[in-house]
Amino acid sequence: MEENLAALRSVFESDDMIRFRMLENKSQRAIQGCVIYAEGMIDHQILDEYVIEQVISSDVPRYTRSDYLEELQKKALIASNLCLAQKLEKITDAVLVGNAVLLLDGSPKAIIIHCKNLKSRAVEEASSEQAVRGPRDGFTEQLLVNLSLIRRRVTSADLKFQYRYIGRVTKTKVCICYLKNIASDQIVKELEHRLNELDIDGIVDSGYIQEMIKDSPFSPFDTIGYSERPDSIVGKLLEGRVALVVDGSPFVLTVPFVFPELFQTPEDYYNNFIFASFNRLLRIFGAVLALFVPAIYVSLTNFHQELLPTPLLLSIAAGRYDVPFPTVIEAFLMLIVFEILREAGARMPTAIGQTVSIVGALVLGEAAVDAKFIAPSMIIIVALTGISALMNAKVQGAILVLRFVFLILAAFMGIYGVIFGALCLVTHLMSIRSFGVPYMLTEGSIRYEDIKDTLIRAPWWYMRLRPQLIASKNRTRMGRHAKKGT
Amino acid sequence: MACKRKIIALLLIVPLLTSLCGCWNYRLLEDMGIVAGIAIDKGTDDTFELTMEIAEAKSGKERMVDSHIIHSFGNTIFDAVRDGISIIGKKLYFSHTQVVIVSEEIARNEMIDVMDWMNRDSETRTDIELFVAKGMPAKDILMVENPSDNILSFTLESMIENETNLSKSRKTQTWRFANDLVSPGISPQIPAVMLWDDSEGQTPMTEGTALFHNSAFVGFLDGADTKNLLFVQDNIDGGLLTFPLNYQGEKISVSLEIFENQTKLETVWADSVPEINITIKTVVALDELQGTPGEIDGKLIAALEQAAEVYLKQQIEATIRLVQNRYACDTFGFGNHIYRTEPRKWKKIEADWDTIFPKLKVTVSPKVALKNSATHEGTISGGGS
Repeated sequence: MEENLAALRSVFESDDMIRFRMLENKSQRAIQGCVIYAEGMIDHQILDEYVIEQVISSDVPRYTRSDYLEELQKKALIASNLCLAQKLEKITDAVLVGNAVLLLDGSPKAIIIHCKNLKSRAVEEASSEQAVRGPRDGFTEQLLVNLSLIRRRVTSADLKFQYRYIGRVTKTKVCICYLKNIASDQIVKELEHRLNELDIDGIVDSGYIQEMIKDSPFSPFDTIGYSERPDSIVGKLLEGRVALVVDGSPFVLTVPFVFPELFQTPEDYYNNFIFASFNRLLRIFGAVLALFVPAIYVSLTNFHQELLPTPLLLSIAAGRYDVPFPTVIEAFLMLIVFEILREAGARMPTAIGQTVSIVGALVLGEAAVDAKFIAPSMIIIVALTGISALMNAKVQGAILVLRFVFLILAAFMGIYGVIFGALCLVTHLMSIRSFGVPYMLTEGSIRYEDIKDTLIRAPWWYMRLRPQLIASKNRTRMGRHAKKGT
Repeated sequence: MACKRKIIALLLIVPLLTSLCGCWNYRLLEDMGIVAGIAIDKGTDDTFELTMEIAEAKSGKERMVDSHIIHSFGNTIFDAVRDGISIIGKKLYFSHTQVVIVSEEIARNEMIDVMDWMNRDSETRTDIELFVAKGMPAKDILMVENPSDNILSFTLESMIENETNLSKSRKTQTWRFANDLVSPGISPQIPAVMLWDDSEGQTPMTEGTALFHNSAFVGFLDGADTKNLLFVQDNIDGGLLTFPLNYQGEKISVSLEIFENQTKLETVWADSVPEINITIKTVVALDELQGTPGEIDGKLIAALEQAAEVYLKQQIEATIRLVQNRYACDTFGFGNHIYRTEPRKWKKIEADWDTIFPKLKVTVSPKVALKNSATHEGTISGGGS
């Protein structure tokens, strides 16, 4: 034991958090041991009452030295999760993740006592994806809590969780999670393969993995989905997608991720399908607005004045009277100002955030118009654009970048440039894939069954089959006569 | 390799983008003079005098739209247009031009030149409303003090747009004029505009029609004749029929409101000489009944319908005779009707149409149906007896 202890002490040298507690049995002096644990990460009650006390006061007769360890494990230690380990690495890892290790004199093995007790946030409402209707619980930073949130919703042995550790330094625990009878084996294999290829020092949030393993790494569009809501993840699992839970991150990744998912929210599936479809169309419309409105406004006022109705032209012209900047510069300035306000609002504490928005929106906007810096029509355009972009959190980034690209195209080439840009965008979207699944349905891959949950959300009883491209293995979602009362 | 391909594609796309993109230009809104309306007159020495109304936006606490007038001269219309730049310092912009007023002189001799520019220029639309100024220079119409706050050209445009409820003139947009000009067997027409004195000054009004023979202006029809012309052209969408009626020994004045009208032309051939039969089916409603004929019964309705038919026949035939005898231009489109229904026979008479038309025998048979008597069954009897 002395040797082992020395080895451990040298590993944990100058680490004050690691504690070594020497033990000795009160009746048999020969039984000596040492408990090693990381301060603050263990449950002291378990360790004190069921481990240390047992070792000190147990009267398990001593047979042979090596036997004693197992005897102790079986008869004395009252803990549900114990295991034996011999390798130094395993032992140090156990200490580092927050377990206690019991070393006994005369035994080459150590007992790892799983008494990890990490303080963590309680399960709270997912703040990034709030819903009026639907479950209120959101993922936390703890992997096991997150997994339990998923498992408690799916009582099926087909739901598989596979752990692995990523990160040379952090050794972050991640968990691949899928329904074995639905999810495509190839996609699971591909995900495993990409995770195996990953060689990075640390994973702090699932965002690292998302960016490291995504298809089309330069595309502004996400090809891996994420959600903070267990209900959303379970819905995706049931569609045959594979989830990746990363310890320390409340955002769970899902693959494959296709274009229509950008506009879906979990709430779509709980509300009346007509209302949900309307909301979804609204979101798509909002994305289109956020993408094109400034560009189209600039091209109409600078190139294609004949396309505006005369009264509108005159009213825009009246607003532009005395404004010093060309429309393009105006649009750029105001869009940047809007993004500054948004970013400031996001970084600020909530209380100050409100001040920022009031100063920004009211004072700046109003004053800029009054001072004839900016035409009032431009304020409307920018406000419309900015608000529409916020409607779709998942495409916000892509839209932000592309909006400026379109604006530049419009400034040089008018509507012609915008159309050209739109063609390029569609070509790009059509060409990318996520884990072998085309991002957008093309003429070749489109199926009637698959479009029921894209632009609109068809009623549940009508979506009898799962998406063909994702869950080709097991497509039937419900029985033929699923709808009752007809 | 893929990267190289992409670069090559980009190098190909950029020149295509910049060279094959058609005709447009970057121009700022505030650098344009938005021309709302044009009046074309004959200047001295065979030049054109253009009077243009420029729509202008003025900003302030209250944003308003105003207009001002500029004059320019040129040997051609476009010459005059370009001269406008030196007057207001902005490039004139014609895509929002809504009216063009020509003087009688221009209409008589240079209508082709005007139409050529308006059809050829890439900025002018084909739905500009045309007017002929009756009895005055065209510029006087544009320069009149505007009765409403709007731009005069836009007032004129909405005036002619709503003319369908009156049927005393018919809007003619440039495409329509050009169409009629080149179609066989029909002469174009343009509504007339004049100034009307009211207590506070002058306001423009549109009534009547300027008739053209080929491209040359030949004369005006007044408002009543225009209505008859529109009846023949099947262009009646509303308007009134007012006529006196002798009923049970009493003379009463009647207004009927036209709800629907359907006109059918029919060609009858007598020894290769065409005759035109016109059937007019009109649905009207009683709108005004002066005098006190008592309860409106079947007898009164029959009498009204019959009187209306007689009145219509008489009026329309008179107008047709007037046009045949005085102007000899086929504004009604009788020749065009023959051309469309019997193109082979038209071929034979096409050359002589100008001589055939004045002698053309036209029979009008109207059929008036009284739909209702609006909100009253009887008349308000005076005296309370």
